[in-house]
Amino acid sequence: MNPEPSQEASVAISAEPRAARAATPAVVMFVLLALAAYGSTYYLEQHSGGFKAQVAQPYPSVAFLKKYPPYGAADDPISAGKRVYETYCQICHQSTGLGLPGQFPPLAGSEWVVEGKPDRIIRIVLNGLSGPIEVKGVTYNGAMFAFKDMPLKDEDIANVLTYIRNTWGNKAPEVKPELVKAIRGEVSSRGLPWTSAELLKVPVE
Amino acid sequence: MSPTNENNAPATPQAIDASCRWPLLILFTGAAGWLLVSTALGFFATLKFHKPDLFANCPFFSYGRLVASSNGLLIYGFGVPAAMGAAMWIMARLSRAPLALGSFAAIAAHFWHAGVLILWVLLGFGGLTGHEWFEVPRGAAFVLFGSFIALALPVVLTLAARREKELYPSQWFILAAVFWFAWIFATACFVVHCQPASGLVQAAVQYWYGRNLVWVFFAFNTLAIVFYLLPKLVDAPLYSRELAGFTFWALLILGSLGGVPHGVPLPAWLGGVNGATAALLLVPVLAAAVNCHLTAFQHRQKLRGDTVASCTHIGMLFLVVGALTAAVLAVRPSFAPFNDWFGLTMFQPAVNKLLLQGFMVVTFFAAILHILPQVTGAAWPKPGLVKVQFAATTIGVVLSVVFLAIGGIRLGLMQQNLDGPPFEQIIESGLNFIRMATLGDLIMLLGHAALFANLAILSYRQCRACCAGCSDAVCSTKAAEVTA
Amino acid sequence: MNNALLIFLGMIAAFGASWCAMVGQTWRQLAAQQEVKIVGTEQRYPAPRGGLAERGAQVYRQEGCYYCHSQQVRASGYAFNLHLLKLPEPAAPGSEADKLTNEVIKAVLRVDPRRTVAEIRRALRSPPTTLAKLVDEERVANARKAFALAGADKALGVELVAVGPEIMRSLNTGWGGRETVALDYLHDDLVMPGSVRFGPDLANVGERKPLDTWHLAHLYAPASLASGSRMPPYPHLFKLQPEGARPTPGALRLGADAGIPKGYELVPTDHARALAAYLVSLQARANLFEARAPQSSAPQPDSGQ
Repeated sequence: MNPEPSQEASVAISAEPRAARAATPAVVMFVLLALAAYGSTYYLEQHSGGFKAQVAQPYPSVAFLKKYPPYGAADDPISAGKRVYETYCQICHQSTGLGLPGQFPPLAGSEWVVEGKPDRIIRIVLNGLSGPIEVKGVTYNGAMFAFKDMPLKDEDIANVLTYIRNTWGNKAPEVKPELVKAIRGEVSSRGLPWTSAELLKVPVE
Repeated sequence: MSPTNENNAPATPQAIDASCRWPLLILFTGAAGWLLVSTALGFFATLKFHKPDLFANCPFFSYGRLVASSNGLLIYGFGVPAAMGAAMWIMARLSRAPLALGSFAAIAAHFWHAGVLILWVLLGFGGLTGHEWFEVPRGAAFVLFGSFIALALPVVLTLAARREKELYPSQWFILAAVFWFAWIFATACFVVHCQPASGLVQAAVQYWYGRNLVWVFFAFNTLAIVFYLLPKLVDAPLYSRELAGFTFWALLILGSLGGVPHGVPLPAWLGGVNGATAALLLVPVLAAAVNCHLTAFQHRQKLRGDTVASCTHIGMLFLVVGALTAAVLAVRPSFAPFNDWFGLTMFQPAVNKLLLQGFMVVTFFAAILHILPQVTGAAWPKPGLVKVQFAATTIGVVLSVVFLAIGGIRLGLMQQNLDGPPFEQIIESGLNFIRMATLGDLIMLLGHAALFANLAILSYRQCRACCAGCSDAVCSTKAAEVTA
Repeated sequence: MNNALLIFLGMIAAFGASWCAMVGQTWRQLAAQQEVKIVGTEQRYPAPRGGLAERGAQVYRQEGCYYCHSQQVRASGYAFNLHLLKLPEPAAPGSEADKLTNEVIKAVLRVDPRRTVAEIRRALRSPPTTLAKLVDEERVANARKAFALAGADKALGVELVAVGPEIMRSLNTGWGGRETVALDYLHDDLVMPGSVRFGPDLANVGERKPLDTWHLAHLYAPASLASGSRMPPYPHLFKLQPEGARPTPGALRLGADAGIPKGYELVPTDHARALAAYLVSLQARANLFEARAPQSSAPQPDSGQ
């Protein structure tokens, strides 16, 4: 088909590089790659999370995550209380428990929180608080709304109060859900928030 | 795609060169110009570490926009046009056919450079995309994509019209690279700019795009150039065609599978696959290095003093070292505990610099230095500057990369110390390394300026010669297409 | 390999494989993700960021913040904390429950021989105490065996935690209580994980610096707030205007070291406000099935800055 290559053309052909044939190195490299690929399956077993979307580094598999379920899901009052606090209380009283000066009283180091019996603070949570209240020598004149109609169970209220009584340096006995239930029954007919004066009449020894 | 045209006689090298002249001149000169601008912008960016108030009142020159522009201009201003220029010429030469649609390619080259200008301007006004590997604002993306298709057509059509049945390895690499860029660019554009999916999918696609850009598009162009130049310079055949074939398929598959580093908030398997393939692609890279070594080692006397050969060698060296460091970064820390020393420190920009400013730029220099004198039929206006270009670029890259890498490892180690100094203090202690890297950038800038000077003068003389008299056979592309 | 068409077909296959594996599969998996409930609560996670914060993400992108700041907290590995939970009510001496308590005490002593019996009894009566921190899986298995033998599986709490230099141990160290995962960015149209840390990691900056005024001041004059900071200032995000009779609402009150001349006030633009809102919204600390937030004492964020 091609005409006899002219002198010019053969120069053109030979001016370009040629590739010699040597299959052995290619076979060696292919074997090397195959071995390395086999070895990489061990790496992938540990580090690819079973190719599931739910597995993030550094965990190896979904089965591993299920073997060690999230902590805090068990009955641990402080952690449970902390979660309630973060959902309902942190907005005002802050995650430091320091509140906001002039608006929301602190819970850290508050004498109201660490009383021997938690009757007063249970009432505050259930019905709310209005009017002036003195905490750590400072008077706050705000309002706290009632939580008794929120989707909070007795044990949630007990847990959050246990949490605030045992964090930020506070140390006080835990609050039992039965006590919350009893007090809820006592104040069920009360619609108004508490005032500081009324609360001070509730015994806490 | 077997040869079908009636005139099956292979074209002369002169005819092929003449058909490529204008597209290559436009592509390469523009590329050199953008490279200079990119390095200058990068240099200004590193200056901000020493004096944060520099240009503070000018949002166009804020740090983020400077780095984005620098990266964008390096990749799209220099990398792609230089790659396409070399691809056109090598494909034409190896196909023994003149470049198809030469004038069309020249116009497309102008459009490409216009697109890069639009890219720079849009980035300066805040059109960043949110990810460093795909900094292509929407306005520039369509211009660049259209121009790229227009630049790719001549390459593919030349291959289709080839007059030499046997394919040389460089042709495989170029064919793959050219299609690959179009496909990955289109995918990235679609996912980022049309936003059919959530932000995380965009981030994953951009990482994948970056990996394919470096390890398929740029690496394949680099290998095409090296496999073409080395045997030609030593006047000996490429050691093993089969080894080149192995490199082609292995690097294609492994280089494209991966991208997402470990630690990014994406499922763990993406980081795992990335680590595995990054380590595995050391094998095809080693194969390519072995191929080059065995081709050229016996004849190394012939290469002494040849700048093109030096660029080729240094480029391959940077490719191998770059592959090693990229693999080190990619494997997971639980497998390689030292990873915490490297990750998210200055080591990462050091590796990127080694890959882009290192193997990509230096190898493309080899191509430009070899191709342009042949294609224009003129010698370099300032041969001394060629040596300056090579030396300054290599020294600058090595200085910059080494100091950033050492600095990064040192900062990473300091951050491991749980009772150590606060973060700002740690970064401040790394300033000396950045200082040395800035010096390296300055030296690199010198090298790039040398290249641009040479290219600008060459282009100017070619343009003047052409305007002066089109009877000059050197000038006429149309004449060459007719005789071929 | 002389047949260009075959090579082309091979290329298509390779690209198809890469696309399906890396792009397609990722897309499918991420599209299937949905909001979950935070462990132990009814709260859904993640909450959408809200309009101002979403606009702030665009400002973050436009200013190129991701070239210095990352948004990925990474864990190097995992370990376990063992906790002694409270048993049901203390029992009468000699009862079954009391025998159980004794068995538990023996089990605890096997896990941690340094404790005294009195200490363990006290621990059992009051809220949970930590038995061991950052132990490996083998010790966990042994502890589980010991407690199972004692018949008190419920008294042992096993907490899986991520470890690494980036996981917060105290106020001044680490970038977050847990690693960031894909679920944290479920609602975001723009996720910018970054690739280098010349500045602090921002995935959890809303927990460390919860006030937008701090962020606004930091954007205008970083050096005045973080000594030795190399962050450039962003004055174009603010308006420096002469003071009127009364301060403009929203004007920042900064000191003299921020470089504001007398008689002028600094008003943040909408962009600055959006960016500050976005930064404050960056928090990744919810306890999830796939990313465990520490349940023991967590560090408190900065207050009053």
